[in-house]
Amino acid sequence: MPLRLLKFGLSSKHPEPRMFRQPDSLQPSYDAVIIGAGGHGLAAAYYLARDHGMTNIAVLEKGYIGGGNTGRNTTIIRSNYLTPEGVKFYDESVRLWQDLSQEFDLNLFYSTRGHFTLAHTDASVRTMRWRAEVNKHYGIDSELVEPDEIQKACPHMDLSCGGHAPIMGALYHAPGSIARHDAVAWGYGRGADLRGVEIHQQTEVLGITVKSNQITGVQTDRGHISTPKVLCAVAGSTPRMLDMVGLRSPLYIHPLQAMVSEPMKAWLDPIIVSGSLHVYVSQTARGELVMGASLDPYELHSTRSTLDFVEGLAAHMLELFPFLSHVKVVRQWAGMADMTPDFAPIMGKTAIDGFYLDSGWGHLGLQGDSGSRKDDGLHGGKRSKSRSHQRFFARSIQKLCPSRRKRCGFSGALNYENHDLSGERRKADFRILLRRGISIDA
Amino acid sequence: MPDPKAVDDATWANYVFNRNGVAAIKQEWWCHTPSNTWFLVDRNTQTDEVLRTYLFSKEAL
Repeated sequence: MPLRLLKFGLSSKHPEPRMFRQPDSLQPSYDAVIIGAGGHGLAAAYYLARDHGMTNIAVLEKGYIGGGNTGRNTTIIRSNYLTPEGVKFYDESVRLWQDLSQEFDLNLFYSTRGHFTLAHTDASVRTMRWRAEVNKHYGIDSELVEPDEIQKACPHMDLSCGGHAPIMGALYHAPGSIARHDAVAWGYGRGADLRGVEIHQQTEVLGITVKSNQITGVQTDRGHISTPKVLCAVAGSTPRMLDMVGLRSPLYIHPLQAMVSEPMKAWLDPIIVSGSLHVYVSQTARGELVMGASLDPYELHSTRSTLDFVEGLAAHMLELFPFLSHVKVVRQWAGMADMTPDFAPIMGKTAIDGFYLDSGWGHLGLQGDSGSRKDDGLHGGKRSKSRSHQRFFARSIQKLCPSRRKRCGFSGALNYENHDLSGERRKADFRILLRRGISIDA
Repeated sequence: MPDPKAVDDATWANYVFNRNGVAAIKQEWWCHTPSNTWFLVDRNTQTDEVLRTYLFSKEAL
């Protein structure tokens, strides 16, 4: 590795080719079109090309690669969810994440830190215990820990939170990790590109043509493409895409904001999450604290940031870490989260032939990136390698009802293959009730 | 509201679960918490611009 780096220092020109080709123009037709060049869209393209030999694919991106929620989240990867479906799905994703750097030959800065979800009340201790038991049952490394263990892992934290919300325990999830989030899109993108997939950035989809309930093409601002298959992986814009094909969904869009402090010496090793205080924080390799809170409380299709958010989050951060009072916030931003009522994703086939959906990941999309191998339906033929995923999806789907991926106890994948976005949804009520007492940690 | 006894499951499910999630000018209920006053707002959910606020009345609908 060091020798390979040396050539970058010695060469007068950049010694490696660009990561992606930049195709000049769109072909008139493709076997499949993927809308959205984020982690999910590019992962689907990559696995279709690598495992299913389907390379005549265009990935269309309105902005730039990984510029949506892939590059706007707080980079946490974990699998300690509450429901069995959520646990199994995200555990598989975490497993895939772990060897992704090798597979891509690209440093994702995947860093396993351990993840504490703090409990400030008896009720949340009870929930943490429940989550720990569900996790352990499925072989996930997850346990309830006492305050002294938290203090040992994070000596800087004020466990009394200034006396307002003393910490009574935490759910500790050792595999909890952070990663350089946009790199996953770059890695999948490069892998797909090498195999012949075309990635078209700055290409906006204006319409999707459907004839007798079958996808026939996509209208873009750079011309029309005919294709029998479209995968829509556009978190935050899903309702607009669904509107183009006349589908309705339970999805609603709320902004999720985050911010970053100035860099400082490494002091925070674990990832700290507090549902009651609406804080999650980790320290990057660069020394910045990446912090997030809960969703903005009302619908908005915009990535604007607010001072209100910074004030609220900073106040809660100071309850946990009073010594940070002079640390400056250097950046803040927002992403548009596709929310479902029960926080489980909606993915799979739709009522329209050839239109596949990957949506409703709320704030949990990054963790699902590597899990986006649900290319199965899309390529139609051999599905050997991703079979387990397909099975997994199918299983979750039967049991569950929809809802996208935020961080409280989620259910898992919903595929509305045979139910038009709605059929199986009634069971969802039950899940929402179940979840009502659960604090949302991110 | 469709009559749950008269319509098929798909129509009813569509009514109960699905929503118009597309950005638009929408009429929403908001609450002014200090006075606990509920009022209506026409808001552009793309730009967050509030176009009109008004109290409920027959004409408002």
